[in-house]
Amino acid sequence: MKVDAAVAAAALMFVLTLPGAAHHSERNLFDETRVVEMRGAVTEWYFVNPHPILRVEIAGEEDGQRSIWTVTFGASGVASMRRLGFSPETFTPGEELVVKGHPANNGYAVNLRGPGSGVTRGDGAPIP
Amino acid sequence: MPKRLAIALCLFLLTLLGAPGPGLSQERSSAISGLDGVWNRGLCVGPNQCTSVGPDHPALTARAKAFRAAFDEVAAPKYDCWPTPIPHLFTDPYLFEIRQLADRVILTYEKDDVVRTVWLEGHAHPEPRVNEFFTSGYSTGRYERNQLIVETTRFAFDPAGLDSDFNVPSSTQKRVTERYSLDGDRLRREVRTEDPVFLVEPIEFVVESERSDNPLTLPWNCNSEAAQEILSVFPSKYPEDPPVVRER
Repeated sequence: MKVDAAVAAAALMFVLTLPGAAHHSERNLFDETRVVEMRGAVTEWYFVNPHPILRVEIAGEEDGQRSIWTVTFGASGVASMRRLGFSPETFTPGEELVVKGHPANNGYAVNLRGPGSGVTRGDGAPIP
Repeated sequence: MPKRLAIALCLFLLTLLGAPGPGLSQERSSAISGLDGVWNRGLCVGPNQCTSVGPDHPALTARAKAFRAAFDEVAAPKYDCWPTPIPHLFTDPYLFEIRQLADRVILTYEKDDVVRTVWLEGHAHPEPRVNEFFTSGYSTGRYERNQLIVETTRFAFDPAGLDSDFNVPSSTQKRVTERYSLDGDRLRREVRTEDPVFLVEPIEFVVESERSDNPLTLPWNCNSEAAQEILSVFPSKYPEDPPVVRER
């Protein structure tokens, strides 16, 4: 997947497969017919409400240029993510992650929701 | 002070402290046994889909559809941590707690730090003035045949008050009626929403909840930067306008 370095911060959504409505209508934001895979290193992790944010540095496959992507967790807040095993220590700056999800229709973002999407450690270990 | 007088004074003070009255935490005699406690989110039951009032919902007035069509996502107050509206809040995936007191019922929601006070019949709380409106409305309640019935009015106008995902508005005329009852171990809530400005007919749904063994995770402490993060992927509906820079 090519990453445009001119996009300083884009949103990468991965919505856990929790039942229920998201904070936002995600219709028309992400292409749910496609799944893309990205690999990058954690730069920041904020375990806050309404939606925790993860920032990951991604290198473009073609030009190698790096950009910071913002990863949020869609419908999930701190309480529901804690019950799934997430915590302020789940992600460590510098560690490598692999994320798979639906690309945004506007900007460089990905929504991790439904079959085929998710996030793992760089070695494939599940999270949390 | 003579000893007997001191004892009498102490007994008098203890009697005063123990007397029921506004603000004290005695449980009302008509309270529903088993209703108090922490409950999981409501899950829809019955024929009506309750989790969303989308743009094509048959109950919407033409002005509701027109309002929604003109509305730009960036103007939605949720990006400034505005709480999820009633009744949308009932199906969000978070816990809530019910506490029945002598003159009121306290509904505390994990989501958005929402705390609702339901004033029961005979309460001493003043009615809202004509110009008072509230984010989560003004609620009164009564017990009828093993049901707690909550009527909520005096909502502030909310551009996403009928559905905060789809930005379906609600007016100051919104009225939400909730009927709480127990069905075995499950909490049943029958919810009816009326709004003559934005609904041609009431929207009704039923949700049921199971009791939770977990305590509420409080406070919510919404982070405005996190709330606004998703806006970066929303295309602007009015690109000719200057970009919105929000205060945090």
